Amino acid sequence: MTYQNGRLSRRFLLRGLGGASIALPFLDLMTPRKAQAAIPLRYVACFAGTSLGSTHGDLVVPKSVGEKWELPRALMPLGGQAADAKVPWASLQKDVTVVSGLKIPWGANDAIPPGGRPIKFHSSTPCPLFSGVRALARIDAGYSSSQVMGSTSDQIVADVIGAGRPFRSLEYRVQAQQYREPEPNKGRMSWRRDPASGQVTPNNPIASPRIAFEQLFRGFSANPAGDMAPTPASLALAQDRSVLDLVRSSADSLMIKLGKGDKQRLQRHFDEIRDLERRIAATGGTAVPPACKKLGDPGADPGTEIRREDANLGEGDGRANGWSNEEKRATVMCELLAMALACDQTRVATLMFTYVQSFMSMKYIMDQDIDLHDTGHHFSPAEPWMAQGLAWHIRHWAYLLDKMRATPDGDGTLLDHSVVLFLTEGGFGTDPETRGRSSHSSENMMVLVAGRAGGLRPGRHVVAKDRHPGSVLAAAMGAVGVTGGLGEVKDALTDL
Amino acid sequence: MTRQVKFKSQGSTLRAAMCVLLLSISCSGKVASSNSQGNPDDGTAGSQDGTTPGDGSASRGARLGDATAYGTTGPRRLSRHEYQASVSDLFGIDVTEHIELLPADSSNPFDNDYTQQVGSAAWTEGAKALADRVAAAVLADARLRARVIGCTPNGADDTKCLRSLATSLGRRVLRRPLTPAEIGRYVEVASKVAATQKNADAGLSVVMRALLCDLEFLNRVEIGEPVPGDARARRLTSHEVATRLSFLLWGTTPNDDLLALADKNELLSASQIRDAAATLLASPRAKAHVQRFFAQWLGYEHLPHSASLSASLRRETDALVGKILFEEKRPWVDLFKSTETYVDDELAARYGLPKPGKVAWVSYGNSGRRGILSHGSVLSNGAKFGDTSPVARGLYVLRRLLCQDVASPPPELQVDTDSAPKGKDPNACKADRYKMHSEGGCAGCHKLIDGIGFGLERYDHTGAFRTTEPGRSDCPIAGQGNLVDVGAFAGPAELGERLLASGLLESCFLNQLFQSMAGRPGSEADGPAREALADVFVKSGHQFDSLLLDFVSANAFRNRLLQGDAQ
Repeated sequence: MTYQNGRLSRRFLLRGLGGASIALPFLDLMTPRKAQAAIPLRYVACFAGTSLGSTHGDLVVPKSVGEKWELPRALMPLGGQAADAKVPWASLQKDVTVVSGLKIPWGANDAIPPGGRPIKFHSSTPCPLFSGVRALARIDAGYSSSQVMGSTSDQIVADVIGAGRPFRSLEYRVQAQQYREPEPNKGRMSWRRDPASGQVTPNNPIASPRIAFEQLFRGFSANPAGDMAPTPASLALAQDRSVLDLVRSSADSLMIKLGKGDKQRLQRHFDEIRDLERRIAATGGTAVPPACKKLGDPGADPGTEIRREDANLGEGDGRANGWSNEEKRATVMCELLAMALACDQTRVATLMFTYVQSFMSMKYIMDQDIDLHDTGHHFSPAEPWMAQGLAWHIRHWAYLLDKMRATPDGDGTLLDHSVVLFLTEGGFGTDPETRGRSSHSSENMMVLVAGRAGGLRPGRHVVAKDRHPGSVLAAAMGAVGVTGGLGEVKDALTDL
Repeated sequence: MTRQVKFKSQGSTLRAAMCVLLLSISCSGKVASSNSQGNPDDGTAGSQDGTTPGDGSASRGARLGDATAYGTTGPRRLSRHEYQASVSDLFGIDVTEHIELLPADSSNPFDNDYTQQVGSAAWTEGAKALADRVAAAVLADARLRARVIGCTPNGADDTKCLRSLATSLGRRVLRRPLTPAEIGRYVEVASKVAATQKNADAGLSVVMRALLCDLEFLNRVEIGEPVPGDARARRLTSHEVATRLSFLLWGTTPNDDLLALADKNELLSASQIRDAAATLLASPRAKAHVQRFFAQWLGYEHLPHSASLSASLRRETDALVGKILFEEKRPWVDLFKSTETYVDDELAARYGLPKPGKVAWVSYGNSGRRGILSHGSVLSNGAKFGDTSPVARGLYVLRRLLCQDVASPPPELQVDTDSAPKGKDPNACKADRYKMHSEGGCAGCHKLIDGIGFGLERYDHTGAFRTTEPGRSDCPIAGQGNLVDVGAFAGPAELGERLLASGLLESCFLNQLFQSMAGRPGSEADGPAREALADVFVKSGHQFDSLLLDFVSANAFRNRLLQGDAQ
């Protein structure tokens, strides 16, 4: 028997049963320690599609270790007003632990180590970073290594703590589109091994704030009791139920007419219809936590502008990039995510700020007509520009944390009962492709860990030299009661 | 799906390529060629090529008669573009401003690859949100009500109008007549809502929204009927043929005329289908659809220039495609030979042509330009590092026009492809800086790639002509290029000539067309169908409309091969 934070890991039980998917009795042992309070724990992973530096990380990695760490330039927004005049919140430094010095190992195509990646950088780190499983070899000019080969941490967690909520997990993305060379995997960070087919398939994120808003607050103003006059919301909800009833029954009769291959192809689409039907059926009429409030309408989604990098930059490369007011999108998505958690609509979420190798324009962020990816390549030194790009992500991540910290939850705050991770595509240092030092490196990676779920002790800078970032994710998973490591990374970091 | 062929060429130049050259023939089992020059020897050990090269064209042509020659097909989800077109046709509503509610499609370079389509909450919620908006828009507008609903309910308890809506709109939206049981179910559920909410419109809304969220509307599902003697094949129904035809030729849901033919079961024989297709092809919508195919294939659907320049460029190329393939019905190769182009004053000035004073056809004269490859739309591809990139341009030509792919530089070469080559002297002229590519391990690949790009160097990434590097009058541009195993050339006109003469271009064009029609990358299994297509094309004198008509009237088009379980 394995106990983690006073809980019996349900995952452990499932493994003991050979992973068979059967309904398990909800044993008393598995209820949280504070059963009377029954405060749920939440798991959130966020991602930025950028590296931390080129040759060094002075502007990103805190200089001192332990509790007294100074904020480097890229992390300034965590320091609150005192450190960054642009942010309205008080310091979050005591709520965040910085884990630096992490490394995803690499190897030639025929010798990729466990939890590792092939030599060519882009799209090679997401698989080991999110799933702890080594990436596929990189063949030809394609992006075979962008395929994620195992369930990602959020999905492993959702298997354990996601059930029973309207959303087993939520997947949001801020960057609206890729803007260049469409490669769908670069816009995904949540993958799940389908219990039926055994295949690992992506959970495509919602990138429309509008959709995220409508989905979250559907029927929100519906009357809980039937004896009051119906509101427009409750009428709309009743209509939605009938719509989905029809769609579902029609899909049922279609699916039985299909051959096996066609059925497999449509299965996920069918499952999503069934999920939507279930969510709509379960909406309204139940009490919501006191902190749960309908947010203001975000309006229509911002339009998209495809730009061309400024050739006059000299070092700019003249290719296309894009902007779809990601500033506003990030704000809305963070507010929605915080509220989804406050409303207990879900306990597991991923928030992908930017695509892997992001071609989001930095025009409106740092007044350079260049994309985020090129900040790592076209300035010398690259560090100040990359730090600005990273700080933009950190500011929005901090905004999410601040919202969670301001949300009362049981005997504390929402942040107290959560673990919220911040991951990046790369670090800085050795680039095995050029054998120099560059932003194409998975050395010196950093994971930020916020929250106090499961007894986490935030507020420190921990150096975990050459440990796999997956070991931090595994520790975060452990904090919400899910032990057993992540993919091929078995050892969770203990000092969190 | 895509097979990578280890490329062991009989060409001595290719053989000399030392940098593990993978010409992964992503859109064909092999690079077909009508002359043997540069024809790859793909008969290497480990080849899984299912085709049997060397067949006489007569027997190849007959293969389109095979029920399963079209290769594997599966349910195809509507692309955003198809969704938009369908809703516009069905409801008279333009959802352009809301289309971002649906997640973006992948692009390879076509937006309809069903093997890349994965169901998601994002898509299902997006489709529902759009359905909500469409239904609300219909109910709010008397004209749309009349068009879409066509009746006015006589109170909240009136089921007659609901039944009429479910019957007529159901047939249009689901592209087949609904069964009485299906209609009954819509009426039952919707009338309950209308009665409970004492609101007839609520019932109408439920019907419209349920149809728009239906799995069968959002996906083109083909069930078909068993084919005696072939367990893997299914004969499409007339309605399924109508759907295939309409999406193939117009990119949208079948119109009333097509559905009426299907209702009468008159889309079964080759001649019936051919006639219906000819009608569709005669419409401006077919032209627009084909123009979009070219824009996706040749990479100018989203041009990264100012709105006005992008519009001028798109208009120019659309005009050429429309004129050659539709208005004048000339052989498709004339796209690469045209001696005139459709420009406004600004574009004419950019190209160094006389200003027409209005948008008009202007002769290329002795400007050295000819055909579509001289268009700024096409030349916009392959820009990098603030200018044209000979490497990116070379790869563009190899991938898009020759259906060949070249591997990224192998790691041992320690190349940073995100930085422009600096050469020994970063201040040297471009051609000199790129000389490092002709040295050592780089030479093998870059000989294939850069030579193409340098042959286009006198045309910048907007299509303007130049003889020196931008801002470097001391750096003259030679503009001499070479296509390995095909020949030397200077400029887009000669490049087009060489490509056509090689036979490789037409073969690649057909592969790209097949991929876009099948909604998936080609695989070795459908090699015979594509070869048959090529033969048909040659026989028709390279007429694009004949090609389409021959294709849709072939047995392969009205049957489907059941999707393998492995897929």
